Amino acid sequence: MNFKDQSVAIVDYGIGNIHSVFQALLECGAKNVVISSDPDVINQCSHLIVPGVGSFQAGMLGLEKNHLIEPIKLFASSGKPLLGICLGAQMLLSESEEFGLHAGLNLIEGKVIHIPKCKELSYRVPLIGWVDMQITCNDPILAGMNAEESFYFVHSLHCMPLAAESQLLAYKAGEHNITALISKDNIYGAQFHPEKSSASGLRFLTNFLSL
Amino acid sequence: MFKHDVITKYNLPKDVKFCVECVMSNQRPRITFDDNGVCSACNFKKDKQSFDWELREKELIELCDKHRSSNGDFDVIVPCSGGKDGSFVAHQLKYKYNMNPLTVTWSPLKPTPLGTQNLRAFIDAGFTNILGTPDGVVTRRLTQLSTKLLGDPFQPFIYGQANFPIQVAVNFKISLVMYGENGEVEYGGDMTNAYKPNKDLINQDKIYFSGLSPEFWSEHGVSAKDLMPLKQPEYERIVKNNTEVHFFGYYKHWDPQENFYYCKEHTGFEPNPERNQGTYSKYASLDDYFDGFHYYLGYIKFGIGRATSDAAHEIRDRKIDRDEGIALVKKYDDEFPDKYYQEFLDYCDITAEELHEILDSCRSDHLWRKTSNGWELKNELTYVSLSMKPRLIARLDLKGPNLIKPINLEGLRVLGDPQEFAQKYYQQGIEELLFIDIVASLYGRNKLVEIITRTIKDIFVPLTVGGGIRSLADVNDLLRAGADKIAINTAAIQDPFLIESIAKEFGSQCMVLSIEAKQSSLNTWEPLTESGRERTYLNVCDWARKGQELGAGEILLTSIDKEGTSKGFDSSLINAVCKSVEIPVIASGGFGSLQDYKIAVESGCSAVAVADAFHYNKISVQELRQYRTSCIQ
Repeated sequence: MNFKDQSVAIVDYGIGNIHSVFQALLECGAKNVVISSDPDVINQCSHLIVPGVGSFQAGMLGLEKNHLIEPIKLFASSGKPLLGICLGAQMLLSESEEFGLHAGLNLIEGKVIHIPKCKELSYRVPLIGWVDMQITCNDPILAGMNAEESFYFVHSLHCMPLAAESQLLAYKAGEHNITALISKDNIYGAQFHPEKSSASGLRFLTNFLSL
Repeated sequence: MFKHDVITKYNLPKDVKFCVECVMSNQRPRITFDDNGVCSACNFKKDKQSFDWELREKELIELCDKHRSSNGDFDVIVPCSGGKDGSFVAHQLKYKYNMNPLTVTWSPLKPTPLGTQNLRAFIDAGFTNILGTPDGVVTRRLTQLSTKLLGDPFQPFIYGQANFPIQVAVNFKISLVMYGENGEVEYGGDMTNAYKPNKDLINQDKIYFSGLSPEFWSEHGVSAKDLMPLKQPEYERIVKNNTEVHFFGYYKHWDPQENFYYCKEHTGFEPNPERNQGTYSKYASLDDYFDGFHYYLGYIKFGIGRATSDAAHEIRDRKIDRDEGIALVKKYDDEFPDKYYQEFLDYCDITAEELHEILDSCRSDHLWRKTSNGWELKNELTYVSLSMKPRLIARLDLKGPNLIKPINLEGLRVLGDPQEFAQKYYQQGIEELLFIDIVASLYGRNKLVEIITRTIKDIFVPLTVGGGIRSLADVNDLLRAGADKIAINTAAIQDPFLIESIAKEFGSQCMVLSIEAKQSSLNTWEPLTESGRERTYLNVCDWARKGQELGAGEILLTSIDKEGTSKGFDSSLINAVCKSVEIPVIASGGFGSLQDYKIAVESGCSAVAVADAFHYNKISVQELRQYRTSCIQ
């Protein structure tokens, strides 16, 4: 694939493994990728990625300190494709209960909640590992994926969007449904790390670039 | 101490597997599993959907027509305790198929008031009943012997329950006996009679009671006369009577819970006001105070408790889903039936100590292990729908620019360029890479950033890095370069609060506590630092717990004793640490053969790190992935 017309911005707010995302996008054929905290760059790009690892509060604080909250919201309202990854996906929601209640970007209504711990330890939190996912939904970001795809997750909280249709993919931990992918219009949030999910992750990012 | 050889006696497979569709394991005697890991009972249930039930009902009507009496004699024997199953069969035969059933009950060892009430209500709903109650002295003696010597209090009862209806059939000259379901095919077992309506009665004249010689019983003070009521009539008489034993479950769709609803409506059946011990259900097996001990001994012998049996058929009947079933099994299967404990001991005239000796004599080593918390099952159900399969990690130990291979963290043989190895493992489908700079802690510097920067260009799986990381700034550099997780050993021992700071700043998920453990005595290990050179005088489990408290999100557990030996993981160490913490544990040090993966996972770890078995091409990543598919459901 050759995405020479796309200009991708990866939001840099001080935390996160941004270079992995950068490399993965290049691998997918993206030609114009920048890591940036400049509101103008964010405004002008065709595809925006909000990466992130770490705590919700630290993430939101990072966005705030770098004056990125308004530019991201503005971008979201433009209708151009936006992808949040892991913490970046969680920050798209209204609020999170990690270390107390904290407000998010509120681009998708809902809350980030703790994955319940399992007393019998049939699973352990944080959930770390690869999940084989049977893709059944028709969203363009999952185009061409129908066989088993495998994605890498590492998280202790997950997204609970208010609207059920915002949950595109989920997997099971014990009796719990754990959200894997959310969306609303042009906005996507992947709880998994596509940049670390080998071939499936690269297919996912390629689909994002094709939006 | 005497031990029952459960494996030989019941012909059990040594590797425990659970059906991927229900919760039954392959330890149920005579059950079989197909190549997809589905048990014979689940497959039979699916088969039943294609049965022509109209045709089968016609066959039932023909059978009834053949046996129906014209002069008012009883024409069918229905074994029935007044519970939901027999009552359903009797009621249907009498009121739907116009038969004249004689119902036969074999008395429970110690009947419950509710069981007695249900039998009475059933009789009041329009049935004639013969209650067979064997000699109390003999029954108690047999129950005691069978508990002590065979590990099942119900064996004599089961013989009576099976044979008494045949005795009544022969004595009343009734040739048709209608049982409920064929338990072997419905719940897993011998499939011989799966597609036929009846079972052949075998000649038991030559088969000694319980497979034991008459001398055995007489030695224990039980005479042939005493055993009489429990035995099948002479075979010649059975044949002469044209006795036929049929299963109602062949003719009509069998669903225990639906039988319950039916009997609630038609025969005055009342369920238990509270659940039965060892399970969650209220509507089954409630006639005998001592039911719980029969089921509990089954749990000990096969690892299959009453909740497992109940949940398995309710999953097949689509009453509950598998995850609910698993949760119920985990909650109730191991519950000891203490409600009538003293009554049971008194009845059998054995002491609590004797009973516990009996229980332990039935625990097979392939099912049970003893821990400081008592006995526990080696294999337990896991939520298959979860799942994350335990990860496969390639561990690359680095010294400067080279991949090296130590043994017991000593002797650093250079193997080559780590990048080449990493790329190969990525192509083969590795799920995580672990780079440890094993000399960095000595110098306080490392080449990890450089390694990561090169790696992330063409390798898109998670990277965990460790060695010489001492500060938040180090962590920040590595994460920004593209590492996903940071493993810290020496610096965390020197300043445990570094764990907390990293977790707060970057999230627990990237804070991996690396523990390099050396065994100091039986079941005790000490974490060492500086690549195994410095002692800490800490206990591994305490340190792991402390790490978790401070915010570590994962533990990388390396056994120094096993590291580089290819002799298998230290499963006791893995088990001890996994029990001490709730966060995931990566097992490292000792992987030498495919089976080591399974052993490590069974010891509780969430990921397995492999070094020289990969580096020396002894086992490829693909082989290990295939092996995982075959052994993890």
